[in-house]
Amino acid sequence: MMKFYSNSPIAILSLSNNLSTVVYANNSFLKMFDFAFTHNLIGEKLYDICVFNSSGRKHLNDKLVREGLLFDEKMFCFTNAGRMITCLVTIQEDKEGEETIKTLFFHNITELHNLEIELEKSKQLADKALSMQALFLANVSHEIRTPINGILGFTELLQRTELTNEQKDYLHSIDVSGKNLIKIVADILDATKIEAGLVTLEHIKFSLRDKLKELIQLFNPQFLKRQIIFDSSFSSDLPEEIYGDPLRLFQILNNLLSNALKFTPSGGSIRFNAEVAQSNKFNVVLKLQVIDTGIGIEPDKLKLIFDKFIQADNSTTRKYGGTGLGLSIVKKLVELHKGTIHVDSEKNKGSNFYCFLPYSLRESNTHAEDLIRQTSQSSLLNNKKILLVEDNEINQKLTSTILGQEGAVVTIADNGEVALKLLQNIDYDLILMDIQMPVLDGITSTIKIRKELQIDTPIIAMTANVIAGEKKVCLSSGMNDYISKPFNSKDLINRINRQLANSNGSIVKSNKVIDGTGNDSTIETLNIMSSGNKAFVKEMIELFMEQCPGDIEKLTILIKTDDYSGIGSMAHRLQTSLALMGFNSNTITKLKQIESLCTTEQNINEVKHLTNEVINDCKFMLEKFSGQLNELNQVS
Amino acid sequence: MEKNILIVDDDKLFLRALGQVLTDANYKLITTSTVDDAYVKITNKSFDLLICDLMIDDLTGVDLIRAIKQNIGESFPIIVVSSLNYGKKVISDLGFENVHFIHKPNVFNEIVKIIESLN
Repeated sequence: MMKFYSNSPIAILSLSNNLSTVVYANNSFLKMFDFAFTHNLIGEKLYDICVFNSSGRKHLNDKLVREGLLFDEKMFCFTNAGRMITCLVTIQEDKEGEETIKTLFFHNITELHNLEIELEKSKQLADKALSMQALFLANVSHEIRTPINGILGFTELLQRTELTNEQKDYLHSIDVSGKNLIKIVADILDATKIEAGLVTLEHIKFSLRDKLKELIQLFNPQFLKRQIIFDSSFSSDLPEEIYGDPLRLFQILNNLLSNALKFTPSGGSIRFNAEVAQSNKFNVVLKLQVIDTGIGIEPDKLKLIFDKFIQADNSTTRKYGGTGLGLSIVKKLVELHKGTIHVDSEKNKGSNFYCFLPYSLRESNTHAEDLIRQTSQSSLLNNKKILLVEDNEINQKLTSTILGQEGAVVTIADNGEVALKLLQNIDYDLILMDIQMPVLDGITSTIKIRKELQIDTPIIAMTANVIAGEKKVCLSSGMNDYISKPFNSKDLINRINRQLANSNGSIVKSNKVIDGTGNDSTIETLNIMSSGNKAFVKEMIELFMEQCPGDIEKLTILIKTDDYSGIGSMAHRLQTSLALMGFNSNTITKLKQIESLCTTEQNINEVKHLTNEVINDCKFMLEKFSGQLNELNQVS
Repeated sequence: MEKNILIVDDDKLFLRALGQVLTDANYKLITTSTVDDAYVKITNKSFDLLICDLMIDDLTGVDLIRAIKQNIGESFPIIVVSSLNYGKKVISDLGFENVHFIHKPNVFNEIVKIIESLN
């Protein structure tokens, strides 16, 4: 039998009855363990010829002495020459008369093992690099946006002064370049954020047609200028209102249209179609299509164009400009929507980009922005007293100039602490609050203004921050609105007017805006129950925050596995806890619906839909509670 | 006379909240979140009242009630709190003596009222 083994590529070693004396070793064994081929191992002890690490030796010993067999067990051992090798060891047992022979097969996987380690290291490094890159870019973009904000703002102000045509021309160039720069920074940041999983989609109600019309209006002047024939068609069954992220939809289509515009020569044509690909009572899948008669893409480049920094041809970049990020962002955004994007194209004939995007037709979450009512009043800023809380001098000057031109009286506070002092003595009509400030930041200041000073003057947050969810944090801290830097003066004035209109009519006072979600009664319920026992309220919130993420995770798994009864009993249990924690009645109604659908095992899609909505509600409340917990901690 | 109450519910938030309400009302209570533990506790120590959910690990609340009625006494007072729509029917169909049903979540005042009515 031993003869069969002698030239086997697997290293083989047989041990006799006492299980430690070598009775046979093949050539591969001698080679693997660095013995000369002439070396005679017979009679030697196993542990004299191969040294295992201590746990391996113990394990092997157990298996050899007892009745155990071993199959492909990974072990580390040292050879005769002191090299460390990694082997898969298999033990086979044979009877030869009275004697038991145990044969060990060694499969050398040292190289594989080393590669595995290298791979794991590289993966860790890559993961770390990706998050470092995202963080770095977020910081850099913040640093870049602030000065660009200054450049663009003052350019806008300068444009309003008396200028020669030549000066107007130059200013126009500064304006265009600045805006391009901001677009590039935003693109790079967007791509990185999506890649790092930092982008979350909003779920708010919006008018689809209005959004699409708005987009087309934006492009019309450019089509005219470039003499491109533009045509659009919206199918009649398009839903009036859908729930989703209007900004991201805008961004997807904006990028597709910009792309078409860029690559279509004058005299060409661009067509935009929007239709319903599929729909039911709750959801709709839109097919959105941009067809151009541009330069087209060669078939072998079609797959590449959605990659980052890739344009179909290197010369494209020189001729048409751009970073090659647009389509990659579009693809990532479409995927974030759980939609798909496709392209058909023929070189020199044109391209047809079309994407399928799913949207909900029903509300799943109460969002504060729904409550911000649109008002179309002319500037109410005249003679209004505005407190500007901002540490950056450029921004101070820019914002106060814009407001000053509208007739407002602006007081500047360098940080939250200064603002709090001012507010104790002076009434303002509105507060503009930067978020990142030294001494006392915007969120904390707002909480103090609302709770300690009991002042309900409207507060608008101004921030260059790009962290998802910050808007909610701002609103839940007691702010009334939110504007991200860089802003244009029109947007700022509109937002201020809206708030002033609200507080003038004294219909919606600041805190009430937040109460309107119906979810702020939270602490109230707990307060009443415990006669204002703060420790109890805090403990309940902590308990909820500890429990809820686990529940969300469970629900997510149950949805994935179509586990009706699991979802049903979770929905049952959650009704009580969520009601206790002051969730609004919508959420509780949804849970009841889920429970009853699960009992009859009907309509899994509806169950999934409702469950996802409940998960969103929970996430929303978790954020809210984390703010309230901070507040409670500060009070105590 | 001071009442000893055992509360069993797998919903920790509810347990904590009800605990607070009853402690504030000066009752002595012990809470647990599993049926098995509740049964051990109630057989080892004398309680005046049990408050439990119907669905603790799938309807085993009923098993607990049945076991208590059989082994401790048919008239042992029990308050069942549940958000099950058909919970009240389940309880009345089972025909136990001295079992009260309250619909979750707004149970706190009701519970205190029932406890006060038990002499």
